Amino acid sequence: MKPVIFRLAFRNLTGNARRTALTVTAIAAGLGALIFLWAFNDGLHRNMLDNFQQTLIGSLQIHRAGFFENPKLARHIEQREIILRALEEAGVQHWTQRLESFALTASPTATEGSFLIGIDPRLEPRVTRLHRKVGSGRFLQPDDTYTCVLGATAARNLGVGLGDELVLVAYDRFGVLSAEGFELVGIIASGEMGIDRGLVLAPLASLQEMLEMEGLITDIPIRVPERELDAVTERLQLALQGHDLEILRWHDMFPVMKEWITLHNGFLYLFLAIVLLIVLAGVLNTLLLSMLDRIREFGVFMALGNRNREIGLLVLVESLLIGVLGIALGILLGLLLVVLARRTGIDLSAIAGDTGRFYVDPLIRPELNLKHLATTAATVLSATVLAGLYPAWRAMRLTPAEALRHV
Amino acid sequence: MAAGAAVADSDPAALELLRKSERLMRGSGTEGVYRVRIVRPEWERTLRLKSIDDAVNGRYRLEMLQPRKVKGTVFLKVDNRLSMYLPKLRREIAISPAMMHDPWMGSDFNNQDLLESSALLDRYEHRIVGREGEGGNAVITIESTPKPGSAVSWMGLKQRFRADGLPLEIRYLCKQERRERVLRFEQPREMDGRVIPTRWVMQPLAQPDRRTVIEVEEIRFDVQPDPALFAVGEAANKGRPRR
Repeated sequence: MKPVIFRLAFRNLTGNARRTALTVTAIAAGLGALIFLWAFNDGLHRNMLDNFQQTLIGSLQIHRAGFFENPKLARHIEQREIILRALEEAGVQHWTQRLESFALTASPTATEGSFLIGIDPRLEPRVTRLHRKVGSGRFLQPDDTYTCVLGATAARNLGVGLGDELVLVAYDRFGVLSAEGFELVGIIASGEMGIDRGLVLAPLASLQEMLEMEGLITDIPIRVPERELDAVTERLQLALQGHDLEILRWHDMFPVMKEWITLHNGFLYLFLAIVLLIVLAGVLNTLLLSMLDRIREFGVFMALGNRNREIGLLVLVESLLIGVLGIALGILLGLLLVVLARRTGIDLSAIAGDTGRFYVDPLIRPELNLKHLATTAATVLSATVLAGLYPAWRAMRLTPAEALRHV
Repeated sequence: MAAGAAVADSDPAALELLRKSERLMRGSGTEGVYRVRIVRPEWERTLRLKSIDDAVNGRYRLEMLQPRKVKGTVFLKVDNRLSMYLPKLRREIAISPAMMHDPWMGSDFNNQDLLESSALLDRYEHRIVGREGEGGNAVITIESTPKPGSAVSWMGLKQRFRADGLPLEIRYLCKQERRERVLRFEQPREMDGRVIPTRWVMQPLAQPDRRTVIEVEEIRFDVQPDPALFAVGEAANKGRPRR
């Protein structure tokens, strides 16, 4: 390719600055909007995932193999010390320990089935934010014995309030039905159904005593940043091989949330396709017009001995230059929008109402994902070049005589 | 379902033997202390309990003596209803139909076993299907199938007795093979004037590493149980300062 084509293309673009600016702006606006949308989307997902994991389950859990599918007290963790050492070696700082079982929760007037979790009040805040969800009363404290925290819906259904005694009935490790009274010290109002309805939290030590599980636990929930999740999982799997344990990531346990995010991203790709179509049409329009405007010019070119192929190439290079320029500007615009929106956050509560059920905070901070940014920019660039193909083809088919006579 | 008609379907000799065995094992009232050893792959433990069987009135009371954590827990069967009294809560919990097939105290017996011990005779049709040996030491096999329309837990029973009524074995047959089990009566010895098996082993057939062994520590036949022990709410009031 002759370098002169680039020079020519460049001159053509600067020569008709208004038209070029219009096209470039259209591309930049489209791309900027897409980058911002992606960042909003990624920020929303990050927020959802953090909330989801920090509500109850953590990013990662270790149990005895098979416990998640079929939780039985007999399937408790036997190698606690080995696991704790492996956690230390894998650099995990945020972990806690729990005893999980099922219970019948009885008040003087009603009975409800509940998921019973014995938690370690000292360690739990390292992994979850359960302690911050208590709406009335208080969270479990390290010296508590036979106290419990209950969801707001369950408390209402059972007709109990703070200070009342609840009777928990559950099978202990030996399969004996045992029952104990627990004083209700806190009520959680998270807005999340699974927690407000079916959950009872009690001090680990009291549950261990009640269920004949002295010193025994059933799971170790862990919190790690999402980008380290797979690496940490792998390290733990390696270190704990052969100990009859299962190491489950949040999406191994609850795939719905991950599928939801994949689906949501799918929608955004659809959106991307529509924006691309608009960009394509806009660019095609401008390039075609500019090509038709210059038919006589092309005739002169050809008369001077340039080949048709070179004319076509010229039009293509012009569209490429427009694309590159538009993308550079678009990225700048997108980044600017993201940075600004990140500083203030985007308040959803005004338009969306309460979003707590979906684990979404009212204030979303967009987050830039370089992979998504690169895909979007590359697709927009190819679309621009694609839009140049038709005008280039038309230009190639001109004959000097016709072109020169064109009015 | 007329009892007379149904009984006619059973083999009279089989019924006679079953009644003889019933009379041997339970007096009009029976009080006993039992040791229950539960064997599991993961653990093994022993419970002790006192049982008062008021056969005349169809009532039954089990009080846990050991271990400490369950001491004072009382199971009460009155009017074909099973309830459980928990001393720590001072509360009586009805054992609902949904819990009937749950293990009793984590053993290989279930709550249903407590309820239907004497119902086996009425709800099944019994036939002698085998006899080995002669005289008092002959071993007789009885097959029992559910009477039409009666609600039972088992598809069939295969019981073996000595001709004098001493039980040897009960095999519980079920559509689900993993639920099948056998109760073996061992170590016959004289206690309170009767020769009875003093060691009963309940063995789930699909799980050879699990079993429950009941040993008779003390037993007294033909006692008259104190009716107050079975009064509704009695268990709940025991040990509680009256207000």
